Amino acid sequence: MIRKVKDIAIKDLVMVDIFCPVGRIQQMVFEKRCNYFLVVDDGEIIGVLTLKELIKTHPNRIAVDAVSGNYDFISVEASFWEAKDIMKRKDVEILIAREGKEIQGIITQDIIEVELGKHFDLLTELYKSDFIYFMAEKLVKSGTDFSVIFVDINNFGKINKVYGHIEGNAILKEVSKLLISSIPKGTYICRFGGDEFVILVPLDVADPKEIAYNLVSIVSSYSFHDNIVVSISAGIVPESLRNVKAYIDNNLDNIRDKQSSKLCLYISNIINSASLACSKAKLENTNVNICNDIKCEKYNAIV
Amino acid sequence: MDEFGNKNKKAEVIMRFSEFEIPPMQDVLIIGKQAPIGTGAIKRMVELLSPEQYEIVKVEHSIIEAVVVRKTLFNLIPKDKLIELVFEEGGKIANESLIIKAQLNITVQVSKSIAL
Repeated sequence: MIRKVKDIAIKDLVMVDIFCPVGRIQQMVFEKRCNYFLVVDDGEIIGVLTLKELIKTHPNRIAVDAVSGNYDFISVEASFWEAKDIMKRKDVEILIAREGKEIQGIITQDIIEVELGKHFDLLTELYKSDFIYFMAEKLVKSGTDFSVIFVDINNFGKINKVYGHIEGNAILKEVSKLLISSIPKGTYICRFGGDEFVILVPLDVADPKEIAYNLVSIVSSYSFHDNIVVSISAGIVPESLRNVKAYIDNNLDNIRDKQSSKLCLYISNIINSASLACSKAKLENTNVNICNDIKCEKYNAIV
Repeated sequence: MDEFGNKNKKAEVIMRFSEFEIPPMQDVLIIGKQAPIGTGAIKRMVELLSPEQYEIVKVEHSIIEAVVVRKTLFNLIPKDKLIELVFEEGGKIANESLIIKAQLNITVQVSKSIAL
């Protein structure tokens, strides 16, 4: 489940007027045990004062002269991935979380870093499945057609049993590096589960079939350590999102709040179909299988 | 000291009167990044004491936060050139924690030849 801004925001904020002396606010850090202060002028937010700014600012200054103004707003319903995205894109260190016009808390870069750690796989150095859900949602909302490639290492259980789990982990690491270096720029990858990876391919960036066949070939021809023979299978859902786009065009205002979880279910369906296609490729020994079963009508049906 | 050993205390009071300068600055202020008064406070001060007479120019500088300039000076020297000049000379003595007050005496000399 993708965590929302309201789940991770710092909520114990103190509001201070722009004329409040910094020395007084420094005292409040200890008195109120608060590290973040919203600076307001006639009820309007001017910025957020953090400990960093309070430490480096002369205590005689007033709040407006200590605040950096390096912030932006975000909805409490937005996902933490969206918060990370906005921070990077707008180059801000703080996001003020609000519900309508009401301030609910703030998100700092530190919070994002901590949260990212939970979604990062240390072994493969890839994000976990949440990342793909977020990117898929983003593509759907921007009306970009995309395809999902589900990649699975063939007989990985056997590799673990024959060579041991340490060797198995090393293979996972090597496969992951191969995949990362081989997928085109503009595509997204995650470690979905044990030996499974999911690649999201916006259709305006590359051809998913070409990518899948290319990856299968690269992994098969690569010399893994101890000459362990490794191969992968891939399942593709070349999804067309025309119907989804039409749906979103008609329901854009509600899509975030009311339909997001259903959209998530729809994306799960696509990934699941790609996973089944991958299993079929394994069973039929075809390396790559393309699934055409999932229809956009399914999405409309579940909404 | 009197016969009982008590001290006599006296206070000497020196008074100096002068006219309060409004605003308490002259032509230019150079505000250091760690100065006890920041741009926001200075801005409000000049807006209250001398409305529309000063312009605050925020700058990208390692130690200087902003320069406050009497607007009429821009009639004599273009803004960019004046700021550059203030930086060139003021920057040598400016300090991160100081606010430097500067007085500028500008004389514009014009010499023209006309055809007779």
